[in-house]
Amino acid sequence: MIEKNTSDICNEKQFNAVFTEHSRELFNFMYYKTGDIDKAEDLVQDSFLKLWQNCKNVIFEKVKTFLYTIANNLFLDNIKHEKIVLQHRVLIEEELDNENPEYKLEEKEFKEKIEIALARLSEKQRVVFLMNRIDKLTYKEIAERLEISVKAVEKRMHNALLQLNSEIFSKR
Amino acid sequence: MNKEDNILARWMSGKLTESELENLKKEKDFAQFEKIIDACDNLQAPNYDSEKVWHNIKTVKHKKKRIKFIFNRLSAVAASIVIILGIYLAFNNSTNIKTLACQKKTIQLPDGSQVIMNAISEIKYNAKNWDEKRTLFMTGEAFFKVKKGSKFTVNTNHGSVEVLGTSFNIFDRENIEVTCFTGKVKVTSTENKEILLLPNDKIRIDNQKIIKVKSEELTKPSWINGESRFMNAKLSQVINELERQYNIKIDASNIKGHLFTGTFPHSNKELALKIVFNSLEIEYTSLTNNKVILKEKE
Repeated sequence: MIEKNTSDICNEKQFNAVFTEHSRELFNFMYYKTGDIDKAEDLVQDSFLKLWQNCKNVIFEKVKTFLYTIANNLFLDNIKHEKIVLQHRVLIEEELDNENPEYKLEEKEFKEKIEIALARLSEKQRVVFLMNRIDKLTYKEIAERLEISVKAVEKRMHNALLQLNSEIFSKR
Repeated sequence: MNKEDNILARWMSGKLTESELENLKKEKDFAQFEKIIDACDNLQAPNYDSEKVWHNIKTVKHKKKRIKFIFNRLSAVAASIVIILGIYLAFNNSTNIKTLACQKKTIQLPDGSQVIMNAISEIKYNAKNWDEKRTLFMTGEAFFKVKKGSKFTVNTNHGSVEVLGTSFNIFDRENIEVTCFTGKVKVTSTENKEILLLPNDKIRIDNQKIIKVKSEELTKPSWINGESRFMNAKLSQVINELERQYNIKIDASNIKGHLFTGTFPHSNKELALKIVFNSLEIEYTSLTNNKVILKEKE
């Protein structure tokens, strides 16, 4: 017999709380994978809807893993029929003293190179790298969400940086 | 570096010992690694509209619930009345300015910003709200000199341009082209793709693709000085501008596609036609009713 728990996801308030807590991060995750804001939003929506449909079967502690797994599966279903064109447009935060119109051209060009190099990383490397650098998740947290080992996360981080370095600084 | 070690991963999370760090610093690419990480640490994920997403989730969820039919209809009617009123009020409060063919206008906005409009263009804005929200809607072509202040947004049917204090030109006709003259300009297409422009950057958004176009180093667009400059532009675009500047109708049905590079003046119709069409070996015949017919030279 299943006991009625205060952390029952089928409860609308609870479900809303789960959404508030996780949707931003899930959106970022989907964005790192797809490079497309609209697709990422759709995947987040559909993942939460699936969570609602399965709310009786998911215990509170496993919600994160459930969401990430579902989102990933929906993403895979999606790309079976499409060629993904990665157009990563990650917002670059700038110094907000706009009094200075003389922007260092070199700095701007370097940031463009970074964006392109990020888009050219393998999806596995890119997703892990951005989850760590932008979302500030620890390797343990990333491992938990993607259901891989911490060592695997470290390997992807290490190789991502090597790859970025080679893309950006090799003389072409 | 030892492949098994994944030392860079541990470095990035700050978990190296003193001696490991010393060793790593000796790597020839270490400075490059640092530069990459510094730049990446300033990255941000794109804006996320969680309210919209939540709203969509709720909408689908509730579609399954059956609400009393009567209440549904009533609430739908109340909503549409509010929307109609809303639109009526918005139009009432907006200042609309249009230019006709052969016309240019300079508009002073309530905060001192200036808009110089080329022929056949229109701008719409809410003068009352201007201090709080500097947003306007435009079609056609206009050059903006924006006073520093709150966010300044120009909406068009092909995308929007946002800026803090700068000068830029928006050409919104067959496609949208934005040229930044001074300062920094952010352009967002209708598909939410963004690009940042610096002085002398020029982009064109054509069929949802953002293309960077070469821009010459000028301080303002040439049309403000009474001439139109083109570099490898489609003839159709040149013809459209001729029609706007001289209020004529050009019949180009017998003409193939051409590319034009050159400048025509706004003050001398004969000279303008000569410049454009002689260079392309196209014969033109001016009729009395402001019509011009084109024919390829044999």
